[in-house]
Amino acid sequence: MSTKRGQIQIDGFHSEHVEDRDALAEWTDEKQEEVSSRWRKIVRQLLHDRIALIGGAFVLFMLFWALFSRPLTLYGVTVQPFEVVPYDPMQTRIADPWMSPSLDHPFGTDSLGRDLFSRVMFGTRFSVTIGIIVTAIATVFGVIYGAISGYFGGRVDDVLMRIVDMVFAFPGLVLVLVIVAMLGRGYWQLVVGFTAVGWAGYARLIRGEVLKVKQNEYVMAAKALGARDRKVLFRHIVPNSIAPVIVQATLSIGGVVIGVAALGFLGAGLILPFHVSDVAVERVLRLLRTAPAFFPCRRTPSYRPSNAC
Amino acid sequence: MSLRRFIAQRLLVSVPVMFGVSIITFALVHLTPGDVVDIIIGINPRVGPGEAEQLRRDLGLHRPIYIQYIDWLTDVLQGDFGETYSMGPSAGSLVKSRLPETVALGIFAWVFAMVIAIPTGIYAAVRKGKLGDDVSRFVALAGVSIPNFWLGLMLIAIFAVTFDLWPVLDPQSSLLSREMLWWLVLPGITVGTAASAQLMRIMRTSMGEELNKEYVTAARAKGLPERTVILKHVLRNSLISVVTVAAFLTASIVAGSVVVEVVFGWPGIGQLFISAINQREINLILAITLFTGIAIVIANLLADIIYALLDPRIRNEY
Repeated sequence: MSTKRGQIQIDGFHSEHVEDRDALAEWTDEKQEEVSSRWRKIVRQLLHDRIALIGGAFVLFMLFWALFSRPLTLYGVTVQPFEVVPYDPMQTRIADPWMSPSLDHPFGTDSLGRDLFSRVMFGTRFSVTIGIIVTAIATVFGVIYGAISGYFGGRVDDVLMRIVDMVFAFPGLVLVLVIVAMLGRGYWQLVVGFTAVGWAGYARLIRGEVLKVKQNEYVMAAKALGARDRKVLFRHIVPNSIAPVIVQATLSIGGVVIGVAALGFLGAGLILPFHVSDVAVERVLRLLRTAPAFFPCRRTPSYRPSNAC
Repeated sequence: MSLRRFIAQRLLVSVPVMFGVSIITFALVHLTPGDVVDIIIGINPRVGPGEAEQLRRDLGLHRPIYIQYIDWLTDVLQGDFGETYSMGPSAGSLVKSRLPETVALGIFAWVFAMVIAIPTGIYAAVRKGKLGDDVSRFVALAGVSIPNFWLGLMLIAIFAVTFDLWPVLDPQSSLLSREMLWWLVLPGITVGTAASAQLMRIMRTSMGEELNKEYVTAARAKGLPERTVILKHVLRNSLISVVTVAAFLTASIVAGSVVVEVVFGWPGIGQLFISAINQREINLILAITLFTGIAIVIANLLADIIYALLDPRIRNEY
C-alpha cells in the first residue's frame, strides 16, 4: 500500500502549506530571535483591539501625570526634574477659596484656596503607586501561600485555608481601618493594611487552580524524574495556574485606589502633605451640609434659617 | 449526606473560624505599638510614669498576652465588652443601641439589590447580546466601579439640594419616625447599588447557563409559552446561586455601610466605629470588629445551608 515499509503516511496535512505557525513550534537553539516575533504578534493583536488601545492610552496618561506632576527625588537625588502642575499643590491662597471651575483652575479651588487640578494631578502619584505596590506584594505572598496549600493538600491545606477563611470573615475596609488606626496614618501604613487584607483572595484563587493543574501528567512526570517539590510547584504548576490570578490582580489595582480614597474620606488616609483628592471630597460633604448656599438655592430654609437664599 | 449532618459539619467548621476571628481581632489591637494607658496619657498628660505603671498593673496589662486574651474572651462570652474611656456607656451597650439602625440600612440595601438585580438579570439573560443586555451590563459595570462615598454625595447634591426631595441634614430622630424612614432611602440606595450590580451579573450568568439546558428545550417542545418557561422553570433553578451569593454579600454591605453611614450621618454601627477609631476607644474597636466578623461568619454559614437546602447535590461536595 505505501511506498516505504514501516512509515505511516498522513493524508491531508502538508507542512509546506502551513503559513502562520507558532514561532515556538520548531524551537532550536539557533532560533532565538524567532521568539521575539511572538511578542510582535502580541503587539500586533493589541494594536487591532480598539478598546485595549483606549484603555492603554488612559493608563499611560495616568502614569505620565503620576511621574511628571512634580519633580521626583529619591534619597536626595533628583531623578525626574520636570514639573507640569500649573500651580504648587501645597500652596494655599493661590486664589479665593471655594472657586468654581474656570479656565485658570479647571477643578476650582478648595477651602484654603489651593488649586484642585494641581492637587489631583499630584495625588495621582500616591494613589497609583499604592495600588501597584499593594497588589504586587499581596499577589506574590498570596500565590506562594495558596500554591503551597493546594499542592500539599490534606492537613496543611485545611489549616492554611481556615486562616484564609478568617481573613475573609472581616469586611476588608473594617480590617484596614483597624490596622491603620493602630499603626497610625501614613503611606506605608496603608500599604500594610491593604496588603494584609488583599492576599487572601489570591491565595484562595490560586489554590483552586493548583488543585486542577496538579492532576496533569506532566506533573507526575516531573515527580517521577525526581524533581523536588519546590521545583515541581514553582516551575511546573504555578506558571500554568497563574493566569486567573494575573487577571484578578490587574482588576484589583483600581479597587485598592478606591479603598484608599474611601479611607481618606473617613479621615484615616494619607497625612497632610500627601492627602489630596480624598480630603477634597470630605470638604465638599461638609460644605453640602453646612453651607448649602453654594449650591442652587432651592432648599427648605428650616435647617439654616440664617441662610437667606 | 443528610441535611442534618451537613449542617452539623458546617457548624463544626465555623467554630474554629470564629475563634480565629477573635484571635485576629485581639492581636491586631494588642500587638501593635501603643496600649490603653498610652491613650489615657494622651487624653490626660498629667499622669506620671509611676501612675502609668500602676494603671497598667490595675488593668492587667503586665501579664502575658495570651492570659489577657483569655480574660477578654471570657468577658466577651459573658456579654461584657468592657468600658469606654470617653464615651460614657459600656462598649457592649453602645453597639447594641446602634444595631437597629445598621440592620435597617443593611436590609434596605439588600432588598433594593434583589429588587433591581433579579428583573434586570432576567431581562439581560433573555436578550443576551442585544442592545438591552449591553446597556444593563454597562450600568452594572458602572455600579461596581463607582466609589460609594461619591455616589452618596451625588445623591445628596441631586435629590436633596437641587430637587429638594430629601432634607440635606440627617433628621436626628428615632429610627421608626417618618422622617428617618424617608431619610433611610438615600443611604440604602447608595449601599445597595454595588451589591445590586454584582447580583445582576450573577443572575445573568446563571440564567444564561440554565437557558442552555435540555429541560428548557423540552418545556418549549411541549408548547409551553416562553413566559412560563422563563418564569416558572428557568427562574427557579437560576435563583439558587443568586440567593446564595446574596447571603455572601453581607460582608460587602457591612463594609459599604461604614462609609455610607458617615456620608449620610446615619447613626449606625459604622459611624460609631469611625468615632471609636478617632478617639482610640480600644474596647469599642474590639467589640465592633469582633461583632462584624462573627456576623459575617454566621451569614456565610447560612448561605451554605440555604444552598444545600435548595440544591441537594451540594451536600456531598464537602
